[in-house]
Amino acid sequence: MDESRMNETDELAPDPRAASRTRTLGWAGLAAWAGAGLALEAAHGLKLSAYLDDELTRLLLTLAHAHGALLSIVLLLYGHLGAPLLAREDALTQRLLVGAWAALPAGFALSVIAHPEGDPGVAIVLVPFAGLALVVALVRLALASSRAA
Amino acid sequence: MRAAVVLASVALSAWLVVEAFAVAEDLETPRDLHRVSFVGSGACARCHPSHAASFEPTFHRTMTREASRETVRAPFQGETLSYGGFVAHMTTEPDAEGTPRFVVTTTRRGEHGEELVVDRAIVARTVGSHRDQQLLTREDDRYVRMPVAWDIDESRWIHMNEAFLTPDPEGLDDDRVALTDYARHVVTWNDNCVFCHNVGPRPGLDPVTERFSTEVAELGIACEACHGPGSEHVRVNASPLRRYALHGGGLGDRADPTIVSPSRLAPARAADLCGRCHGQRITEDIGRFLRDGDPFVPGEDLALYSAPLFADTTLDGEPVFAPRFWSDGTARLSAYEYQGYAQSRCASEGELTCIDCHAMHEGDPRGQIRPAMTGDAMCTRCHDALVDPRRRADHVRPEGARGVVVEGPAHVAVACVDCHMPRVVYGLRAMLRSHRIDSPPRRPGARTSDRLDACALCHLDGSDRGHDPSAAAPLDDLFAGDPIQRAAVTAALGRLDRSHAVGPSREARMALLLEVMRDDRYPGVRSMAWAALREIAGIPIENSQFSPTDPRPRRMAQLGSLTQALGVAPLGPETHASLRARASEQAIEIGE
Repeated sequence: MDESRMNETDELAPDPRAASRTRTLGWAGLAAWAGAGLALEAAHGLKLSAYLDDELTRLLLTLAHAHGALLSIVLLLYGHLGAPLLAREDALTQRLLVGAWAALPAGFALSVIAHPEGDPGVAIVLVPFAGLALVVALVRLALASSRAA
Repeated sequence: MRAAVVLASVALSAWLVVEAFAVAEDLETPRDLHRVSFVGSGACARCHPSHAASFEPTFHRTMTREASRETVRAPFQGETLSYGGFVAHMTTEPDAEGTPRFVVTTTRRGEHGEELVVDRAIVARTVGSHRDQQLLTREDDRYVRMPVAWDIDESRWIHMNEAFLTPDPEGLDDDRVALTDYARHVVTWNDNCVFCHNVGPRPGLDPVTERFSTEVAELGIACEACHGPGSEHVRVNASPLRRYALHGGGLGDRADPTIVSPSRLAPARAADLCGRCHGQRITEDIGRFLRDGDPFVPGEDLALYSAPLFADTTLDGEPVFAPRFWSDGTARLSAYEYQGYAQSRCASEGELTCIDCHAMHEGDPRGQIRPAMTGDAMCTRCHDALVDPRRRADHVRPEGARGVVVEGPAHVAVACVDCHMPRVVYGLRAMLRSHRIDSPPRRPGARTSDRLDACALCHLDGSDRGHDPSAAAPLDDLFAGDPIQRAAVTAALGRLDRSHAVGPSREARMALLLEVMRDDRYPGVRSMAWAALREIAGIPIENSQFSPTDPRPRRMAQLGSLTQALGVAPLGPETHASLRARASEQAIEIGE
């Protein structure tokens, strides 16, 4: 096999390190957002007024927790099942997925800071972009899955 | 793929720029709120939940309600109220669907002792939820106020003749009051209460048929009463870009021309907003008001449509409103706070406005004083020199009285408002603070309609008059004054907290109050005397040993028991006769 053919094959092969990285991020994220969930439960248990009295803050932190935990699971699934479907050159899907995993819950969580009445804080701007990135990544994974089949 | 992403980013950026320019232009475009419709507080609460929640407990919010088990404060469990031979029976009955409805059945005895039903009215709406709750019944095209109301503080039924400053009608002592006197305060809601107790009222009076087709945007006082109609605000702020341009995600705060924010208004315009209801007014175009409602929208100059009533305001050339003011022009009835404010130098020379001291979204619903403005804080914010105790001690000495009155410390305990906003305003059986903020004027004499000065309300025995022997003791007003002077002194007798050191003794106060309860011709004044007596004698509020609207013989019996129980020595007959001989018969009527 000549060198150029070998490079081409490498680029088309899945990247095992990328899969491993995403699994690490997935487990780390799951741990972090599980910890955040514990904190929210504690806020309920201890009746923290700063949390309980602000309905929007409660909603945003709940969304951050839910999206963070769910996207961490998605990242784990991607590490086990999705990444092997993609060629090494297709790093975009992984970047979109990791970006959404980080930005979507962060957007919800950070938008509780100095939020005006009835609207989240400016950090909420992260959410639509992260949501779009997630959708694009999932579509690309679906297409890759279809090709592999 | 990369090209698609770049293209999409460029398109998004271009759209954002165009939208941003459109929003910026929109935020600079003034709106005519006369052309905007109301949306109701539910729509406001969706985006402003904290403001909605903080306004909810106010008495403004619950000013007018549809009658229901949740809104009607009275028990309606068969209670009765007797007045001048009429008996009102309060009962609850289920309607066809089993929903409770509240019924007031009025009866009186016929010539042969038989019980005659004079009226049977179903409560349709309630007005008020603070001290009294008035009841409305539906009569064809209109709502009508009933002659009885529920006293929330005292948990008892009262006749409306007691709530307003009205003298006893003929026949009360014989239990034979005329129906017109029994129903003296029965008024139509549609051309009266509707204006101030609801949002967006339109009485809809047809001048030809004289029938009403009244509409209100919302019962009670809700968001749009102060912030203006909100449909345009709701429509344009569906755009998140616009919202974030306004509040910057919590980092900024810009004015929105589609809604009125009272705190952004000039002081006079903010006061106009409150003065619309807290300042009785008169208009030259009453027909328009009764047909289409008050055209004023928040933020406007109130004078465009109406003028506040003052002592010299005339109706058909007659100064008919003069009795509502003290001789110096200070309002002496509630709902004239705007006039008092306008007469104050804090407003004319300063920049004070109502919401500097009052708040709709914080503080105790009773008075709605800003928590940061309680005590003297509301005054020392501008008059900061008076925070210094030495300067304050100097300040509280009456002018020209140095060396005559006690030194400062005794007066330093007195709040600024006790002297500069004294309780000389009558409102529904209570003496309220005047909103004419001024230096306490010394009363020239004891003329009827002379304002009781701030000193008099504590120095009831005239103990502050050593330097001015010509001045009469305020206690003389208890009998010789007109009804509002009598009410003011009566209420002052019940305030032992600050005045006990200088006024009459507790026992003397009780004797004087018992006299008022027996003989004053105004049930409202008698009612205030009973409240004052309870206060200083420590009688529980639920005690029903006295009924201010009972005929005099029955009151005499009740007072006999009370006097015995309290161990009070009555005034001597000569003292009583001498004081009573000077009683004024000047009637004060509250315009409805």
